[in-house]
Amino acid sequence: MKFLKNPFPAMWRLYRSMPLTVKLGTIWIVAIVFAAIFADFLPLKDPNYQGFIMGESKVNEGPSLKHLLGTDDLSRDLFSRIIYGARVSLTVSFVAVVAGSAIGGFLGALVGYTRGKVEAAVMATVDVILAFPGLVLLLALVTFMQTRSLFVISVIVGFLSIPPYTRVARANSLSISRREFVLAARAIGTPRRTVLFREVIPNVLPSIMAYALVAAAGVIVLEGSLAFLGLSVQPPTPTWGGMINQARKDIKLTLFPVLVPSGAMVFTVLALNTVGDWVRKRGQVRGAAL
Amino acid sequence: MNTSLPDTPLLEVENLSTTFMTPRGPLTAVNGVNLTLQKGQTYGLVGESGSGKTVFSRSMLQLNVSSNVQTTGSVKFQGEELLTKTRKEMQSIWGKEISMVFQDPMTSLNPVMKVGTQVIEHIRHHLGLGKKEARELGIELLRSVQIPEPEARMDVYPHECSGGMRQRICIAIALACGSKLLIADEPTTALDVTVQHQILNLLDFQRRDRDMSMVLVTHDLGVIAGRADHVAVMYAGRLVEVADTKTLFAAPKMPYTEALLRSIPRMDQPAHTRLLSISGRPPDLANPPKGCAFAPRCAYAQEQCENEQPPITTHADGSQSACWIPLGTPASRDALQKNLSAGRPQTLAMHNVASTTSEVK
Repeated sequence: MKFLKNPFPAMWRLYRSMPLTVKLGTIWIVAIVFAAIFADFLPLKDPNYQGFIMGESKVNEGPSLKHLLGTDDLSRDLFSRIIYGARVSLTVSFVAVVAGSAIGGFLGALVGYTRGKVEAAVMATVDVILAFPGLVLLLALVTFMQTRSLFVISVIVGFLSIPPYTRVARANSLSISRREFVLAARAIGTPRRTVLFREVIPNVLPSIMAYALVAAAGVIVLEGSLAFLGLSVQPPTPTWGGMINQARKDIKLTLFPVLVPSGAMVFTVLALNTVGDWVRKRGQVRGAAL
Repeated sequence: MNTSLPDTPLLEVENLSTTFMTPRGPLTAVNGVNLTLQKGQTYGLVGESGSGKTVFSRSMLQLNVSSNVQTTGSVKFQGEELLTKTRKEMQSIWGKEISMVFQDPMTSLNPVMKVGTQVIEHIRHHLGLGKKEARELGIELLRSVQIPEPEARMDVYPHECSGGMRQRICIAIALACGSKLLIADEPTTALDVTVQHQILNLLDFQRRDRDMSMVLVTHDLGVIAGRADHVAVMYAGRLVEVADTKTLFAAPKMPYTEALLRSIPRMDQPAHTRLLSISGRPPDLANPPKGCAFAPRCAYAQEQCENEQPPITTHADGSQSACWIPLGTPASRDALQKNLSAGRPQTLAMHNVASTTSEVK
């Protein structure tokens, strides 16, 4: 409540309490999310405009004031392609996190609390899905699809990210459900559903959140690999993985167009991991105090 | 025990047994327990760790967590059978008619929910009060369990409270709906001695004030003394001695009770006196002994004790015990002498008994 009334000093204080690396990570995440959301309103060049047609710019140009990060092999502006490409990566990873934590988290918390046959069935299904190598299953599902729009890719990746959340949530739910306050809640006559929503899920949530931040990074890499193989959202929509793949052909001439999308991906993953770790550690300290 | 003819007892437990199906076979944690509690009384239930006290108190309310558990027998609350009730039906009994205070106040409150919300929540659920009225009642409750600044305490989280305060909050929650029976499962085990005293006094005061009955489960005879009307001693899932408190402390009939009493550190002993303990360990309940469960640790045990399960017998002073050789009879003195001269292997227990018998008897 306090946070909602007066968000900025609270956020500033939170920011001040972060170590340097976490600060940098937070800045990077905020910047790239902001840029991806408002890309249409920012003074960016058209990511698909090929400058060499009109003789404005050459292919594989180095960084300059005109092209902050140079151009690719079709003389498109790399800077704006990175930002538009972030849309794909971030959307897919956002959908995966939301679907995973909402569906997977709830399912896990539920079966961890109720146990019994439903739990056995759900966990067996989850284990079967997890037994496949993730990328192979993803490739199988994606190649099966006629269209590879952002929506389709997000749904598939989102679906595949449910199982690990279910496991995390179930494991936590199991131990929380054994805690005395859950028994105490039952002993004062709380209905089971209320126990689940009021006692179990709020206590499972912190570990799901911490996992989500780290898992989001994993999804970005996964989408990157898919795009690299040309199986993610189709051109001309820019994707980081697709950009790496495209620049790979000219790697003997110039390294820069490969480095830019790779760097974007590396920094995003690193930032998410650093921030995720930090959040988890904070959570642990709090958890230990309880 | 009670000479006046009582009307329907508040709680009547008959032949209650609880068995856990374990990979090693059935484990009977509570074995044929009978217990009668009149309205307004306090029943003390004593036993060492693992004797089945907690399982017993949870079995009465169908609160056992695991699914591989079987409870048989009968638990009548105000003449109503509880064991056959469904979970739905129990929900209106839990917290409203019978409430429970748990062992560890550190873990029995939800860490992510404000204290006030936890106190209020089931008031609203059971009594159907509005938010405001429930909050006022909650503040009243916190005040009645002697929490300073109850208004402010409504809005803190459990980790901001001390152990004693948390247990008070748990008690407030248990008292909230005016239940008729309070089951306190080792309510003071996790607290230090001064706080223990306060909490026990509080429980006692509230019990009188609200005209409740209480089952006080503990491993500490000192907690029972002066607070319970009757005491049941539990060993390996069975009640081995049931008596009113005075009789139990003055003249224990079961060697186990005697040993328990003896192992309380005493103020009048010189400093650095070796603490007396009961040697050996409680039996493995998955593989119970044929005879009396206490026989292997008992200083008085004879051949019969090891082979035959002693029945519950009633003595002249109204107490009941399950022992072949009740204490205070010539037979028990002979048994002890016989064991002493034979040098049974329970050296420590023997030693304890031998060194103190002379002054006691």
